[in-house]
Amino acid sequence: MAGGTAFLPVEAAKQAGAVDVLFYGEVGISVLVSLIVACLVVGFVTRYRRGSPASRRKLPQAFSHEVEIIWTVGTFFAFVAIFWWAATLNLIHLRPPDHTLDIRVVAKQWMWKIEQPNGVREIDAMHLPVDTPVRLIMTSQDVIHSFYVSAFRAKQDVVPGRVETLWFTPDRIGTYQLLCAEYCGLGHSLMRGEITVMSKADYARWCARMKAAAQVKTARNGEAP
Amino acid sequence: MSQVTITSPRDWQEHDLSLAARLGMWIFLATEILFFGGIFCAYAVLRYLNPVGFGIGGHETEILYGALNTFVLATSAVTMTMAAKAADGADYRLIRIGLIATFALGVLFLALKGMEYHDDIVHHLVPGHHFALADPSAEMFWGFYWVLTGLHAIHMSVGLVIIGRAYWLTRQNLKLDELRRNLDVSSLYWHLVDCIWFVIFPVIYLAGRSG
Amino acid sequence: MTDIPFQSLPEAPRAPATVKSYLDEGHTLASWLFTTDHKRIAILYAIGITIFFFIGGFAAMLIRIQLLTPNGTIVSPELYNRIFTIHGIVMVWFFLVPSIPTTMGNFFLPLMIGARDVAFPRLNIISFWIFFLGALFTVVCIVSGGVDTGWTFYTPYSTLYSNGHVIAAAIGIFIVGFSSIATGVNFLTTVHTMRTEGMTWFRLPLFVWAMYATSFVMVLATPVLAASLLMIVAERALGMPLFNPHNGGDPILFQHLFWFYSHPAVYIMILPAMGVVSEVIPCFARRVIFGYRFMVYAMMMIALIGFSVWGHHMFVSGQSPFANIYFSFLSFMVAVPSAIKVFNWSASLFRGSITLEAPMFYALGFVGLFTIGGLTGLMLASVPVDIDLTDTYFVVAHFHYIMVGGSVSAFFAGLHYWWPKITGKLYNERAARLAALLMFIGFNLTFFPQFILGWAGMPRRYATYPPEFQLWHVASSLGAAVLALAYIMPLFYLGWSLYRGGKASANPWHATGLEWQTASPPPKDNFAVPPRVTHGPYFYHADNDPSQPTKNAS
Repeated sequence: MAGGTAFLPVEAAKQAGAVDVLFYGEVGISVLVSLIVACLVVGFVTRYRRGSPASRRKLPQAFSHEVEIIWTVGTFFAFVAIFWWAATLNLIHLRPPDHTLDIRVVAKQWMWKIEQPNGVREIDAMHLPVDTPVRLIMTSQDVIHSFYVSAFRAKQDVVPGRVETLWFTPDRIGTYQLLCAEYCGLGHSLMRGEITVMSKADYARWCARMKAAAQVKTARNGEAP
Repeated sequence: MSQVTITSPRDWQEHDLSLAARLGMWIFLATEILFFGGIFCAYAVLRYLNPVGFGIGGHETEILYGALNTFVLATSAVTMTMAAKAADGADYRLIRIGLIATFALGVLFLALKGMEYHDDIVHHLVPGHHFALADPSAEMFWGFYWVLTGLHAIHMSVGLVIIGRAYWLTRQNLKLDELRRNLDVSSLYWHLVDCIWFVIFPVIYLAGRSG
Repeated sequence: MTDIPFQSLPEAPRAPATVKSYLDEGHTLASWLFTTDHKRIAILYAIGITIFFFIGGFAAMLIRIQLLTPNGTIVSPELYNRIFTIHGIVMVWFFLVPSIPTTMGNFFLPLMIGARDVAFPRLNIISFWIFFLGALFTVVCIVSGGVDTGWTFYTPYSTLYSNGHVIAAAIGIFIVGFSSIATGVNFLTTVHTMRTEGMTWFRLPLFVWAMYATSFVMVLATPVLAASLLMIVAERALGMPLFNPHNGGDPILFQHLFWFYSHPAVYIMILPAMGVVSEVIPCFARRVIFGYRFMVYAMMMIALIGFSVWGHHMFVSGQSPFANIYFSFLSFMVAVPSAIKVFNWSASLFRGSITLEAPMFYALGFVGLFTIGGLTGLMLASVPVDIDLTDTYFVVAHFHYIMVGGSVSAFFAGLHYWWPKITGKLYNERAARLAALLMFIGFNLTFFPQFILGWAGMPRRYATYPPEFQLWHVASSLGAAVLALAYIMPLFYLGWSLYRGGKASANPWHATGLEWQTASPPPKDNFAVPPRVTHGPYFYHADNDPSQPTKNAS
């Protein structure tokens, strides 16, 4: 079973890099703002503790008004800027490229049923070729589940009665964890899977092998009395 | 000292009780509008998603009962207003006539509703195993019918209790101000229940019938 | 009319030495259980929410013990699912939503505006019983029948697949909602019609404004929850396929209706906390709050914009990308007034004269923890980041920073600040500060690792988890043990204060505000004489000059 990481998730899809930059950028801004607030609070509490000799001159009224307006407007524009960054990234990634490897996913309590374009089926596993845009076409047989691969920074709720799509381009060979991210009952914690990203050649070989095995199985079943 | 300047002792003055009662009731009415609004919203979305089934279901509603009930409630709005207005002129007799008439019309509404429910049950228009129509979204429409009219009937019954109490209050030796306050908020509630019906009627009985 | 300089005013007529406090108006059980005195009702509520807090807290303890090991066997997955459900339902609806409004709001709203009671005292006691009996009913139903849907009741799991007392739990929560609505109606009407002479809108303390904004949200949002829960009951009991996609229903419709209430609900949980902090900081910094008007406008904007951001809980639900952009934008916007408040609280320390008694410690802790929680909210409002982080422990950490680091800290700030007024007794300051410090440390140790867990990929509502996450779970559980200790400590030193605490004067903190101009504890009618107001709130120094503190009645 593929393992994740304890700390920083691995970047295994093309979009992961940009998402990480946005995330760490926001973390950086947050750390900065939190430090400013902490320093202001601790600083003021120390400097203006009761009995300290710091000056406590009159507070200018106009000054307080201007300061208010400056930080209100400043905050507004800062937040608009961060939103802009996030929204742009969101919009860029909205539409999948024209040629994708389409894989069908059916979620049910409590397993992932995968069907490759050539008809090969997997349960709780998905083999993918690296550097190829993949589009998942998903639905649920029962309740809402959520297809989540942290390494790809990809998540999509899988809803019964609807078909949802999710696309990404894996760009790193390896195995990654698939987890269900929408509470779905008793087996929610165990509804896990393994995504195996292989080189294109390996993927082609794997497909051929699986297809052949499936055909043998069908033939044998057909002969059964 | 803080904000307070005590210059001389004085007595507690009553706050404006009439304003408080009306404001409280209007806020409560807002909550009722949001409650029914949430249900109407769900109805609208599901109707949009299932126009055919909702149309089939809607066709089975008893429009005569619905129209009669609308007429009854509209009339009761007039009699209720009459009772509330009569309080301004301290005309106790007119107040009581208005309240009795409103109460009677409310009872008539519930009686008609009861007869209609009986008909609906006989025609197997109750969601469940024996539902008359094949289309599942028609069944959903009828689910809305029962929930919306049922909730409305419950609110109407509460309204009858309120009117009954108002009548009882006219027989107690109340100050006119206090009676007026009660009639003000009672009539506000009654009008809301009427207004909810005025949305239920077109949405349940009339929608889709012109075609 | 000229302002009378403060120093030359006569002292307020002193209350007679033996003012009969509200606690002495009847000692029978009936005089408490059927009281219409807003102060006694506040205490009834306080007992109620404390009971539910410990029920929810017990569930949290079980969760953290289970999650010490990746394949924990303390509880079965079935039981685990019920435990996190009861934790959410009890903590959100039976503790956080009522907490500050029904206890401190009930007790202090009339006092702060110079009124004798609330507008509808009988509605007030009825609302308590609706809350208590409804909540008790719900807890009993959940414990006896095992509701395992999560507090969010997502369909179609809750309507078609879950076994257990879902209908009963939904009805119980529906009933408790009426209590919220009644409290909101009462507070709004009270503030509109019962302000004492001279108490204009912009002389109201910020706590009153917070109660007003909260009541506005309670009144308009709760009915939609009622409608959503009713629809769940309708589908389960009557078979109405509202959320069943195979019969024409729409599971996502439920999410929209549910979050339309539940997002404003989080503002119901934070606005009162902001009100408390805005009272405590000026008192212990001995200066006027910075930017009073902006603080008022900020709270009203939060209440208003808070109604239009619910879709940020649904970025990966399958709703349209345009909805995502819209909700993301508004979520960034609702953070602006919150940021303004943080800056204003910080600026309220400038040129103050500060001491760190327990209420101030909690209030400053609030400022820091709320800031962190709020900033992580910006990350969750960014759609590409939220796609990765939603339904992971990052979200759990985010909302616990705001609800627990924020609201619960503020609750304790208010509890300690107003304890002398409510009980007439003083608490042990050293014990209180120790508990506050423990709470701060325990809280951060519990929830900060959860940010890391979420980013690393740990989903929510997992009874067992992939083993690489164990380190952070152990840290979090250790923190929870410290936090539990910090929550239990006040039971002891506050209980001790009731029996052996020093007697509190009318104004032990030398605070402004009408509630401090009457005895501790107050008499039944709150004031011996109806007060008349001539100045704005937080009048700790005249003329905007911190070097000129005003003389406060003690």
